[in-house]
Amino acid sequence: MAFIELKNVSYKYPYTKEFALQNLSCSFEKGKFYGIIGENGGGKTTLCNLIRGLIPHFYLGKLTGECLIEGKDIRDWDTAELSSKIGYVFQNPFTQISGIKSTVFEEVAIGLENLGVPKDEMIERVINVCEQLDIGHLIKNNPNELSGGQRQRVAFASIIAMDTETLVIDEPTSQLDPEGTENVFKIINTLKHSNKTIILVEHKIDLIAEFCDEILVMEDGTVAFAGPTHEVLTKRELLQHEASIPEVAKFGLAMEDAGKHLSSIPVTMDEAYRLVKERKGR
Amino acid sequence: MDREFAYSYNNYVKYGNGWKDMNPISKLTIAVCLGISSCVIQRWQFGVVLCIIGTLMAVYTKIFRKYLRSLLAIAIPLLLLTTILRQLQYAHTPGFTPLFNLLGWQWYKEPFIMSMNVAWYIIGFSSVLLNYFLNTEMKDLMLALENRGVTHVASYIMLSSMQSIIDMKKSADTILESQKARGIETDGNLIVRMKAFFPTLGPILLSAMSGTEEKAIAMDARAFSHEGGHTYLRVLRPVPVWEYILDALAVLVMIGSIAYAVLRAMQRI
Repeated sequence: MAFIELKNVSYKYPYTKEFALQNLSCSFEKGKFYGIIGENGGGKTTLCNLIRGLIPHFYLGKLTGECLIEGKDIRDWDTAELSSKIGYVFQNPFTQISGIKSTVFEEVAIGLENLGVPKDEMIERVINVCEQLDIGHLIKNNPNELSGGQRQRVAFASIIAMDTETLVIDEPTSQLDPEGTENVFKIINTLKHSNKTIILVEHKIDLIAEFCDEILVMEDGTVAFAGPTHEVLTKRELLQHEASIPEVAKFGLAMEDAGKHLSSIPVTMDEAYRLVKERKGR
Repeated sequence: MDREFAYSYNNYVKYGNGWKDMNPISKLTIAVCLGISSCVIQRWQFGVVLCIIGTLMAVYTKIFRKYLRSLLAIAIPLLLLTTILRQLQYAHTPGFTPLFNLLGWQWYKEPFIMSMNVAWYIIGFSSVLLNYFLNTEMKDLMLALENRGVTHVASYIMLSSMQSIIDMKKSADTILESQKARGIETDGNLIVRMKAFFPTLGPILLSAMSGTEEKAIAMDARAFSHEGGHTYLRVLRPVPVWEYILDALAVLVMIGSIAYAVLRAMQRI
């Protein structure tokens, strides 16, 4: 059974005329890494808000259809209970810092304090997460005085420290440099191997292609395409939609158009290298 | 990573200074009791004694410069204002002892003592409270209050409101800097500065309000509304017996001051 299942969900924010989600149906299985891509205003963040329970508990508005988390309707979940099951990291690093802690170490521990984790365990978990996210050198700093990228990593660390089964991550790398972005993806990938379900909204398609198991392409509040990463990102139709596809996939399709077929369309650099090498050897 | 720092959270919160390490509520009890005593007694001698104690504490706790700057900002205008006003108020009242003549303006002893009593009770009160707030981290006070049953929601509201003030000041500085870069005059006399500052209030308040929603979501993601018992990374040391004794003494001083003030009032009647 799917861990999260949405059936014909439509949602309209309060005081708006347009539906942010329209007749959306999709499901998420445990332990998989999902990437959500699509144009701006396509409903990606709204979908995250729904899965995290902010809709309908925080944002009222009009919600129809069914959104089931572990078979229980989202309307019946208690948000506090949900916060210990589904972690949420969002775009803006400046509002994700609690503002009440004076060191990064304390900031990372805030969720654990709220969950009532014993102090010894709390310290160990915070140390591990800080090392994992390479923010160990920041632990004494005041989180309110960090740069955007550093704050984003601290916010990310405080959610990872909570060790939730599922992570909903909405553009975590928007404030990070290429190296920081790659590090975050590696961390997310490590989390995937610890059997966590990850739902990631991201525009960096090359990284999505490299790490995600499945992809959802969102358009006008609904899922335009969904399926295994390779299958989705090699669809020609995607080029007509505003969602971007990896450069190597465009290259593969261009090769195909030129009658110089590769044995399959690549979606990652490594794959492209292998396929080109293979074609050369033919 | 500085593991020593990380594991220091295993210990109680400690600043290495007797007064600073006291429980914030014990300190607050002492400060409030002494402050109230100063207000009730209204004698310049008591105010001066409190001020001396406060200054010695400020030296001991290494906050002397900050303390002195704030105290002088209160004390100097207060002393000048009350002295001049009292002298003016009783300038033509007969029966007072002449003190000295200042360029034809006769000063009297009794109004001078009255003004000293008023000024010094406020200075004494300010001295102890300044000492308290400069020596107490607000997060420690809130932690101590949470330990005594105040909800973490109330504690968060208090602490984040204080941080919001700092954030809003930063926003104001950023806006003023960008105005300056666009050639708008932001430095100069009070009117020029006010003219530059007031238009920034709208954007500052709007940005603060728009951030509130996301902040609430961020806190919700950190299980803020989780109903099980909370644990704390920072733990205040258990209150030692001598702190209770000090608190009791402070309360006794306050009760004694009130009794003294009541008796004095009854004698007057």
